[in-house]
Amino acid sequence: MCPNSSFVTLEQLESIPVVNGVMNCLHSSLQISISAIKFNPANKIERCFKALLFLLLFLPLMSANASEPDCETSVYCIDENSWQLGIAMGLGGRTNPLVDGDAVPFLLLPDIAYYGESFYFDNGELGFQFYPTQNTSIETFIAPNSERANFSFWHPSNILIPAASFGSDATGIDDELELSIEQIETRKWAIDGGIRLQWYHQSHHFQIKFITDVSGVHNGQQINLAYRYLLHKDNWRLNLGPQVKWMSSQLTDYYYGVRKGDTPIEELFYEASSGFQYGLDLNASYAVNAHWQWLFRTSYTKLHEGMSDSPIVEDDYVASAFVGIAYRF
Amino acid sequence: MKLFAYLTITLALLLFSNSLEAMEWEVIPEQCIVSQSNEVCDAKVRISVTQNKEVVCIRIIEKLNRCLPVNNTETLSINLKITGPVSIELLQQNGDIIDIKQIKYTLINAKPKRRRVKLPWSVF
Repeated sequence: MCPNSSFVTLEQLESIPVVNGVMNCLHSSLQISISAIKFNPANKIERCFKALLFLLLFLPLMSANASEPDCETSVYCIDENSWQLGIAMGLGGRTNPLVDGDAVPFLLLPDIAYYGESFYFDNGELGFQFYPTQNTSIETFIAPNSERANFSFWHPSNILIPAASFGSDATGIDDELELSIEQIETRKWAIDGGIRLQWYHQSHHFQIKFITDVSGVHNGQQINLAYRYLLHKDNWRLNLGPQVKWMSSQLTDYYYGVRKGDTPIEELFYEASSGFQYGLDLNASYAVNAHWQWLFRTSYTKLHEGMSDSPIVEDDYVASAFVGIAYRF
Repeated sequence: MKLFAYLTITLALLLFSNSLEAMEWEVIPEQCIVSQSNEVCDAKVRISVTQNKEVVCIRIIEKLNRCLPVNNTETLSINLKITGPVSIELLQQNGDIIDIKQIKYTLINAKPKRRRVKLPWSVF
């Protein structure tokens, strides 16, 4: 069982029966987790997080007799040594939380994946899988850090999108001591290197990844913990996934801190701190035939205060949505 | 008189069943294994029959519709393009079917499936 109140203590979380507790908590209310994190001391958050990591690592052992999910018919699977290519056309976009940051329009959505026997490339991520099975996988990977995408439109993931901007012109410093990103020092791209553990059980998918900056740009880290519920009914495929991401102070401060190089005004100096960000995404598709499908994606991420309090950040969330039709080659 | 008739029928049945039991035949290969549904097996099919006195023939459904006589202990070799299951009938001279064998057409997935580490269409 999962506590129903909007605030739960660590003790309450830990008292929840291990498997059902986390599943129900993740399922039933993201707000419960948000509240628990927001109002509890940092050390308790870490303990809670560690408990979840521990649980994630041992779940496969606890369900050794569980039936294997079927990869033969799943759209989430790919033949070894083959490509999976697709393009989706539609309408959508992603908000930009930065002051004068351009929202990113989604008009074309590519899907590019190649999987060898161990090596893979999947939508910008290059990796190597160790001992992949139908139920579990462990992989190491490198990928561009997505935080830099907020500072310029030409993120690798945006290259195929025609240039357009929903943002306003630079306004400089306003009454609330905000600072336009067009007036600050350029942030560099960083390359993430990481390790990811994944576990599948029927309609449930758990994932944890540990990421560090391997390019020496900010030397920060992040940890992502995600759960996803997968549903397949007739031609419909739906998946819903809450997730939590911890960002280190080095990572947050490099991109969202304000320092001498950004502005001479000392009142605007800001040292961004680490924190947890919570998100939820919903993806749906309807297969028209073997090649064509309707696609719907939406996501919402609540930014942590150590980032959203920065003078260059005006929103405390990032939201995205896309509706369109996709063609699979 | 009735007893004689019963004995005659019983003897006739025994003789007939013996002739069927003695009829042994073999089709090689037993199956064609492909990795894609449109693949073809170019196979040299060998059919061998071991029999006592019956004169038999074989017919390959949709490939060889006439009855091909086959002699005792003889092995027939036929080149076949196998695109699906192939049924081979062993017939008596009067056309009665003695037995049927099938060369199976088996599709196996030569490329094992792997789960994608990211959701499709999750470039953003």
